[in-house]
Amino acid sequence: MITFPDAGKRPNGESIMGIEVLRKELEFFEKEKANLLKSHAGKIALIKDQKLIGVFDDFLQAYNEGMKSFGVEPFLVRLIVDVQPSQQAPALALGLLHVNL
Amino acid sequence: MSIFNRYWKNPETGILDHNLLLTRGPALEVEIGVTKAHVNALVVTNKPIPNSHNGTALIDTGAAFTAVDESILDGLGLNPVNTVPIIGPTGNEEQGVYFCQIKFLGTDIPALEQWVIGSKLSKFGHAALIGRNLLNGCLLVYDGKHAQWTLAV
Repeated sequence: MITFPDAGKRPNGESIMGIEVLRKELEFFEKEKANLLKSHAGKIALIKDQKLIGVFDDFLQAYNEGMKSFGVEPFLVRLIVDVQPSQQAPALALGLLHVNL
Repeated sequence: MSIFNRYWKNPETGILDHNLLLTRGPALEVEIGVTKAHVNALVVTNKPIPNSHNGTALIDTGAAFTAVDESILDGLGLNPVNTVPIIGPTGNEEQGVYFCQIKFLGTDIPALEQWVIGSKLSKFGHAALIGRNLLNGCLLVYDGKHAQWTLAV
């Protein structure tokens, strides 16, 4: 089982705003991932209080259902895949959005 | 199709300024606020609706995703709904995913309810970064020769 002991922390130990509120939901997702993949691969899971609330076709649909059911309380909306796809923004990551020579 | 032609003019001379396009980049005025679903949730619980934040959004065709400055998302009282690994210079780093509403001021592009990634953008002078997930379906022309750029939606 994958755990998230460092959820809410950057590699340098700096806090990441807000991510820690998802720690338990992320751990639940990892625990249930194999089962979810069998029946709902590629769909979007809505998870709250370590329970699967529902499975949706897209993120906005899952988010709207989460807001309707839980309001501004934290909930998790996550793609059901084995490894979450990584994203990239090279100029931002490298601090190169603005360069004056 | 809506077509937006933008350029930077030198504030003193009023002439198109190549250097400003070079330093500021292709940027749009945006208003970032909470989603309709978030407004509804606040209304139901008699909580105040946070003011939207105005700023510039830099178009970055190198970015796969759209990002909003973390302090703006924090100011709107948003919780992350997911995390994603972002490829950085020292490896992958988990960052929060949020839902917010983005309005493109001075254009007739409909307001978008969009997932965005919380990032540290304010140090670059921008509120948001417009990545390929929003540019998908748009036509973008960067005309450095004439110090202007065009977005067709």
